[in-house]
Amino acid sequence: MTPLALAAALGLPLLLVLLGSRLSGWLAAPGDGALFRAVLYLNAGTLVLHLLMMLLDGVGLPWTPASLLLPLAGLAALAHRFVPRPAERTRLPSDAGWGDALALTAVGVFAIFSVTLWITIPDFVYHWGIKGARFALDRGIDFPYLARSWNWPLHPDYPNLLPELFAATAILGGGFRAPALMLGSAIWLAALVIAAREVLRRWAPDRFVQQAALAVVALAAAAFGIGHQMAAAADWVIALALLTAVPPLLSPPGRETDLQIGCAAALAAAAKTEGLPLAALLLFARFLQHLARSPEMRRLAASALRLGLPAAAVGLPWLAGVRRWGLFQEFNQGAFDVHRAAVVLPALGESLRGGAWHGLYWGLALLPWLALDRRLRPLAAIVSLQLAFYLYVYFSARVDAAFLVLSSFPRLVLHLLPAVLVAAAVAAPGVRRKTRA
Amino acid sequence: MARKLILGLLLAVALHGFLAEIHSGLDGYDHRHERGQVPGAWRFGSAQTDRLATCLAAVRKAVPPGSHIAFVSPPGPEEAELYRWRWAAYLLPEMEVLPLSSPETPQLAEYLVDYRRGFENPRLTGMRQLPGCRFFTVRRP
Repeated sequence: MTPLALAAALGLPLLLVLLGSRLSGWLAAPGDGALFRAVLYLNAGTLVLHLLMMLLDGVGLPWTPASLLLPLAGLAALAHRFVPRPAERTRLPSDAGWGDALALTAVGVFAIFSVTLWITIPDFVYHWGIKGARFALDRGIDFPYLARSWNWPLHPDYPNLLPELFAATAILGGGFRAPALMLGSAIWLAALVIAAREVLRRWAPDRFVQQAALAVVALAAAAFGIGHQMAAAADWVIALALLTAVPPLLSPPGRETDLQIGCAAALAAAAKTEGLPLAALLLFARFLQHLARSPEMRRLAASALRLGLPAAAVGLPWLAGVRRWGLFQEFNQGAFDVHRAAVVLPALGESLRGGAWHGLYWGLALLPWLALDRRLRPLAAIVSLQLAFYLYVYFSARVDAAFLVLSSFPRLVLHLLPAVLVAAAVAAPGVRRKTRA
Repeated sequence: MARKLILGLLLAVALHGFLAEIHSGLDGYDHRHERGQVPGAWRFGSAQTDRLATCLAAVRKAVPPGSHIAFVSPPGPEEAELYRWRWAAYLLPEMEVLPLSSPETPQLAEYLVDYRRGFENPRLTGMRQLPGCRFFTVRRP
């Protein structure tokens, strides 16, 4: 790893946070902590970069350090001029505890393992990484390469956020250096932990629950990341998107929280195909919250726009590219076949016994209990339906169902389990008291 | 009290899992050169991927970017040939790396890398022995 590659791998996310912070007047809701705001800014900045890269590619301009950085600087200046500043300023947390220390350790250990490449997800070789390297060489999305008949293992129909981030880091860092690119996963994990901390800080019943639940989520996610080779996996982004949506889902509907959910949905949709139904569920759940509160049409239309615009902005160009280049893979779809239960259910059982989550898998069994808490009902519904979608795919995709379950189910649990564990801590009985930011 | 007990237990499980994965990860990393894995389970830094990377680094020097290269390796269990081909494609992102199984390979392939298979074909000429593999030019049909 060269110093320039390291600087690009660390500097690009920082730049995206700074860019996102220019939108703080739209994004930061009252009560959001400083660290959580940084995560919201990272999400928004990442989406802006993703849109910029798709736009440059669409108009035929090559990705270069100048073509990437200058428009970002211009957008930041425009946002500074036109986006209102948030009224409330926040301070960094000053009440870190033992759970924070354990969480920080977990993220640090995962980061160290990641840069060795020893825990790199095999899919980095099979599709995410090679697409990133190819896009960096081509200075754009190499659709003809994706469309080659023999390149079906690349999953050419997947959304391109992750390869684009790899390509941008490579372009800014002077070459494709895999160890530097792995740091992105550690940053996603850190963001995930911060989002979990935010939920616990604001809604967990007491400090012990906050600290213990934070440590459990961070240790479990990092352990899974190390044991299941999750460096450079897109699944972190989906897990982060869901967890980022929990604070706004627990808050009364408002302009800022709507946009937070809209950005979370867009991030999920841009990360991987599994993120598309999650995006739809997040948006639908929030829309229902609005509907329950006030059925006034004008207000509903404004909310729908705030919620849906980010996901539409990233989803529609992706869909257009897939259709134009004929990238959709037939093996992704098929008719629902109930007879597959004979294969799918034993494979799920084997997966659950496999030890990938050291028994914490069973946290998903808390979903009915979470649904009993009125505040957590939307989240419980979203997670349950997303889980149902995964099962539907197992019962319908035209591939070896047993292999699909065994190779994917533990990873898909990563999308959902951190949010479920955090929600369980919120639902835990106890004496509720206010906490500082 | 029960709440603290349950959370404490969960924390112990999570901490145990974390330490177990660190131990397993370090053990695997320390013995990465001794591991014999099927290609579907190859990792960066293992002996198998290092050998393949050495071969393909020599291939990169021999052909211009954008070349169509057929990659062949021994068939084996658990789609060994497929996974070796994917590693080869990853290690040569500036090339078009084709599998032997593609119907387009006979028309498009300009070069062929024979990775430990002993592949023979009358269209192959100009054999060069590279580190761990053989490299051929493919005669046009």
